[in-house]
Amino acid sequence: MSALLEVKDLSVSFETRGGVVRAVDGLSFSLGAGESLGIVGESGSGKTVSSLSILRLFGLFDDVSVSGKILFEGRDLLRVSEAELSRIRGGKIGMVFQDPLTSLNPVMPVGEQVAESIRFHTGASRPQAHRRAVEMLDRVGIPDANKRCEELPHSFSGGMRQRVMVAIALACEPKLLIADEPTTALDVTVQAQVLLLLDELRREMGIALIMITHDFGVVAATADRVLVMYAAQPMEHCSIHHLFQRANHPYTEGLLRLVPRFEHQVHGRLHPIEGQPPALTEEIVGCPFAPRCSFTLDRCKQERPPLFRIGPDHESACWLAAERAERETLPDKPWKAV
Amino acid sequence: MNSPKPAPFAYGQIDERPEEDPGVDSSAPLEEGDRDTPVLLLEDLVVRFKSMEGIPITAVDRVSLRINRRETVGLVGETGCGKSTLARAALKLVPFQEGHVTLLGHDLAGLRNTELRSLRRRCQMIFQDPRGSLNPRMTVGRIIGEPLRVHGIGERREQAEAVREMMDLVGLPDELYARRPVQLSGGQQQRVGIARALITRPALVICDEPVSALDVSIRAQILNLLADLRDSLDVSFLFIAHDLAVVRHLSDRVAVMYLGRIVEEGPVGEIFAQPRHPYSQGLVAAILRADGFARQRLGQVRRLAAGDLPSLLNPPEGCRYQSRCPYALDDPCRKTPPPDFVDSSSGVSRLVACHRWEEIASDSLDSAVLGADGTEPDISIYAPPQGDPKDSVEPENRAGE
Repeated sequence: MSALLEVKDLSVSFETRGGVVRAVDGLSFSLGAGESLGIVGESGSGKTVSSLSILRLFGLFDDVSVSGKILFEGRDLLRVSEAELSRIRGGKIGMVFQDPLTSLNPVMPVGEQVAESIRFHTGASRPQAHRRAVEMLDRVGIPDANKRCEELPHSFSGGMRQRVMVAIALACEPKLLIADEPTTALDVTVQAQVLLLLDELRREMGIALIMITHDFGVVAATADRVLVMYAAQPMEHCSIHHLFQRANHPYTEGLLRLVPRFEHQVHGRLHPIEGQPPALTEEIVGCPFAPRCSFTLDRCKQERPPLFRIGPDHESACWLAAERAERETLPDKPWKAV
Repeated sequence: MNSPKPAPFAYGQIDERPEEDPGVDSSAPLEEGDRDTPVLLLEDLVVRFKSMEGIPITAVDRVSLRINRRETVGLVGETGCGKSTLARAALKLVPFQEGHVTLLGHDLAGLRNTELRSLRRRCQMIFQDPRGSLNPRMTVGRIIGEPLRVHGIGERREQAEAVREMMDLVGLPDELYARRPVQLSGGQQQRVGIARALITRPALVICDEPVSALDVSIRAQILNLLADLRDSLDVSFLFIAHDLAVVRHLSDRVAVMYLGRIVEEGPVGEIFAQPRHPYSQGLVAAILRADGFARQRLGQVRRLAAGDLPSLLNPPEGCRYQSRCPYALDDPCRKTPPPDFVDSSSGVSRLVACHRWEEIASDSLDSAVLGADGTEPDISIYAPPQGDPKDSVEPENRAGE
């Protein structure tokens, strides 16, 4: 089966006053139809830029240079015309952003905002698009959708607004949905509801998903596979099952030990990763994580490790990958069922 | 950054109060009672606001809470449940309409302003946004020393010395003394906020979402620092957060708030291992645990925490959680607000404000809520719960939005 989306050796850099910022550096992955991939990393790891590059949404950055290939249904999105791209944006590829209030038009009724995209992409008539919009709002769980579609975004709660965003993103039945921290601004129960909704609709409609987040919990709830990024580079790429059972890269392992977890004792200690991530304007020689890693070899400081394949569906950019793959399990058994 | 060494600071002995220059201190320290006197005691506290249209909103509704000396109490709940208002009312930063607040043995109602001020020195706050809560034009040293100047504690040289000691305690390198907040990282900024809160040697520190604005790696450092301070200092924390894993990590006891009411309260291990109140159960189910079973677990949210928060302008009648509760009955749940039941079945006492807590605790409700064939009932998250339409979960005109 040929992949729906294939990203090949993508690099993105911006020219800024402070120097050249390399936001994505040598990223490759592929995504089949209906699959879901989580991209995880701290702020500034390049996870958002990599997803925006898929739609060439660079906005304010004029001096951006991009290399590599982004093949979507066989066509290179970095080379298609603007006109063609705007058919794909919101049509075959939908997006949901973090803050629904700034992504929605504050003076346009929500129903119309959903219908707008339907009209643009399918050429449906106004009444047709309106009917479809109400149907979509109903489907994402807006109560009384046929009445509430006349209301403006401000009269909706945060969770309901994010549902509206999901409705817009899915209205044209895209092949791929890109969600960038879609629930970070929401409360816990609402976050769980929205993720549940996204996951269900996605499966029902056979849509592939790229979920961008800093939260392993969100990844665990929505993704089949995970890509861990650090300092603009991919560190580890594996199935969700592997991530929690046998994370290979020392950075992934460090990230997993950072967060308080329910499997830990009540007042356990966290293990922060010493040091700071490198500035993206610096030239990085060798492995970007080497200065903070407790397993650093001389080689790590000189040569950048490639993504080593260490098993089916598991790659790790660490010179010690093969050796570390031999280890039985993580010391604190985070995958144990509760 | 390294976690701080154990305090070199003569912090611990509350009974032998740290030397202060009594000549500079404007008001004599108040009596604080003995070690058994709770640091904070709230009794039936009620805080009301008026909405823009003049409709009264009860943000905190008959809340009682006790924080003992050296105890860390977590307060959890979702946006708009009143947790921040509760904390502010406890220091009389917002007025309250009914009930009693007793800080270190003093009923706030009977205090003169100078006394209140002297008491506030012993109660400090740490805020969510480290950058926004620091004066950008002041140096780190001045920011941390400000409370000492405000309260007239010590002479200049002593103040500077105390600031340096405090910086050491929270893991701020000495060379940052003359820097300004913009020159610091987010983690360092929050350390400054923590140092400023601790410099007056408070008995109670209220932390309002102290780590939710921080990146994960910095969050871990700050959480470790707070845990160290909790263990090494003679101070109580009221820890407000919406992230339950964080609250569980730091607290001794937890109170769960929903629409202005505390619905459940008890020791942290018990509450999270076996939540009794349906809302606490929903919250615990909604935690996205980082493991391979998250998806399966998430399904429970549909049953336990469906729908949105109702409006405070028109809260549901009877139990406040009834509009979202899978166990709610017409009588009594939709008619009478539940009292606080004491559950001491596990040997420790905990409070549950749910009419049906005993049935829930004994799991006898499972067959009633689950269908006869053991499948989950169809309480879809997409539809508002059945019942009186005015109890609908529609979030229109939510207060505070």
